[in-house]
Amino acid sequence: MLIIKHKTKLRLFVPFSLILIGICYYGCHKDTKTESTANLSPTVAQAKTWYESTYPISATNSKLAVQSTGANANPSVDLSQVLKPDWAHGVTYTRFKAGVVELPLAPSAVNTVISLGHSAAIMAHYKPQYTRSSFLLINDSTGYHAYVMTIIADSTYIKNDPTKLDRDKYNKRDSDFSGFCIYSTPKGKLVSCWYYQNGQLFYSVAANPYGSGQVAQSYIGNNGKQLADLESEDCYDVSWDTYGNGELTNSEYLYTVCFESTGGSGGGGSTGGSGGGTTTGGGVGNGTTTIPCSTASGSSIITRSKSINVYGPPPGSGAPVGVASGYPPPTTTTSCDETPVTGPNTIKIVFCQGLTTQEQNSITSTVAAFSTEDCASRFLYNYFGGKTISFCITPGNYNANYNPATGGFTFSTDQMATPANADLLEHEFFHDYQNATYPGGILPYGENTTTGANNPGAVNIEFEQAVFNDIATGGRSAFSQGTPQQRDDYNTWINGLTQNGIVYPQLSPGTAAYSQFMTSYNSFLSEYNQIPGNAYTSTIINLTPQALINLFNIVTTPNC
Amino acid sequence: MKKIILTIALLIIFIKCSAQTKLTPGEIQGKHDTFIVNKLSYHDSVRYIDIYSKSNKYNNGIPYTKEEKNRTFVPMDFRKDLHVDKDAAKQIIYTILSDKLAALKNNKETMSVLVEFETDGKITDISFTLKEDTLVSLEDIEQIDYSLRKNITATFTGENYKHYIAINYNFPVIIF
Repeated sequence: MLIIKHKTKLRLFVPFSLILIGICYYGCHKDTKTESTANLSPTVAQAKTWYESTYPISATNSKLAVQSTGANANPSVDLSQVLKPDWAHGVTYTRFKAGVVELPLAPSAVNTVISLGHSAAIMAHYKPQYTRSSFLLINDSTGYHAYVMTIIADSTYIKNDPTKLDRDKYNKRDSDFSGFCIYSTPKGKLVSCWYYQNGQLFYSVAANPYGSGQVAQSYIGNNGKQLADLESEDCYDVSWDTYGNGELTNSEYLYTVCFESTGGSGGGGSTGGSGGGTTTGGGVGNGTTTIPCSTASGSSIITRSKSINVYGPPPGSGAPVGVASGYPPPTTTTSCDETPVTGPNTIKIVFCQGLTTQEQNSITSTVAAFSTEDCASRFLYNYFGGKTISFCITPGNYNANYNPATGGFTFSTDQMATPANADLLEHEFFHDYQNATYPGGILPYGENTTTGANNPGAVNIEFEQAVFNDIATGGRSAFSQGTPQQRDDYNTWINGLTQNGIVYPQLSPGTAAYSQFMTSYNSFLSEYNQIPGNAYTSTIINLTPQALINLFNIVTTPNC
Repeated sequence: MKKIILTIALLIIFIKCSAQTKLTPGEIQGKHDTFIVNKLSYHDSVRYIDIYSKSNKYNNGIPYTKEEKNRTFVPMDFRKDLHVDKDAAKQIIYTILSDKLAALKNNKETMSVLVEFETDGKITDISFTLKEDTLVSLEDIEQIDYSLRKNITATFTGENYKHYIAINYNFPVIIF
């Protein structure tokens, strides 16, 4: 019988223990390393390093970070402390010229959800199980930015098939999606909110969570209680909810999003109305203040708050069949799908021979001034971004012109090629856009260089430009030489198309609005052609103003 | 006594109401001026009329100047080079219509005002666009027309404005 003495036991125990500790340490160490970097792509690993240093888990790992109230108050829930990215399942791609790491929530968040409230009406439409949050780490030219993206799907869209949520990611959106896409910072501040119905973007509210003058999002406590003074409006208290055994066990208020269909006397834009009737309000707030947001009626806009902008409906063409191109970027200033053409941002200018350095500099400054004249000029500049365009100064019977044969621009004098006349370039760049839009370009519709007469279609091209200009700038140049009735009629038409200067017209073939637009457009075209002394008078051809329609279907509002 | 007071009150209201001339298409004689009212084309669900003084200078359109006909002509950029006190104009309109503001809001009315400035900055022509069923009367329009001409002037910067006979300007739409 083997008897092991105590001393022998001790002698065996020590190395055995060391081996055991070593095994444990190695095992644990290996696990930790796996979670940290192993099996992660370099892109995800780099994003993880940035995220964990920017949003470290606090030592106490406090779930709630109740802060003081006020304009710069932090929200009641620090989401970075309660929601964690599942790094092992990150997906990387590039979108809007920025690297994206999209990550589902870690399994620890399985019983939590960001919700719109708990009333019967809300729960009927926006069930917790039809809600999904994910992390977005976007690496653009300014560095990393982190967002929590929450898709809150309408039950009418889900149709008892929660797997439909899998079709809604940052870079893809189901073509018939109905519901909300909400972006917040990891700290729990609202960034923007986008509301869709049947695949169509209806409205949005955007805050600037990092800027000054941000909207207060103070802690109101009481687990997301609906405030009485907001009940008359379409407001949602967005909260972070915890469930246990299918029952709501805790709810922490994040912020309020309001959708309001009527408004008061808002401030008018430089070209538009002086506020009122069709103005809408809504937004985010601390529960005691409503700030502009959106509505589902088709009217729009306001800017009652410093940090809130509300955007009109999206391009009328809507989403393509099947999977659409995703959700807007969190901090976008337009209701953009990926369709807007934004090439490399700089137009490459080449100069004709013989221009002095001063002339070249002046042209460069003029092009730069044009690029920021208004939202339409910004679009046009970006549309042609990356393109090489020649600029000349050559005396001639014009102020500035665009040559559709060469794609070049020419100013007639040094004076024309100065920033003070940058609006001339908006006119000419629209012709360039027309040239790119119409099959065969616009060369056939110019002036007959032999006779000096306008070719058939010249008036189509110039009238379209005039309407474009009047919509984009708020002017009424097309009929400035018309009779009072013509001017008033035209003014009423433009005001109707732009809702008194606050949106650009969204026109989709086949709709009643499109038919009405075409009827009115052609009627005004005919009248314009008959204005005595009009230099652009010509034979009218059958040409749908597709350049104008396309442009305003992309650039949706004058507030960009 | 009560009956007398009631009768007088009703009479005053009747006189005041009947003194308001409705804007119907055609020529309407105001206190000092004749106005022309037209139905505008139908572009959406709301029907509009316009009204302007028969004595406006350019009711047949503003002729092009020689410079404007020239292809080298540089149009004026009204956003930069035309300056007018929009708030003052709005205040004039709101003051004159002060008794009706609630009713106008209730009737979801808007008012567009187009003016022609001559190069000295004075208003030469004004036209108004209103809903066809507007509660604004001829008397209101005549008073607004007079006050705007008297109190509102434009200033111009740059040189381009000098090449026009008159410069068209649309005030921001007033939404009551």
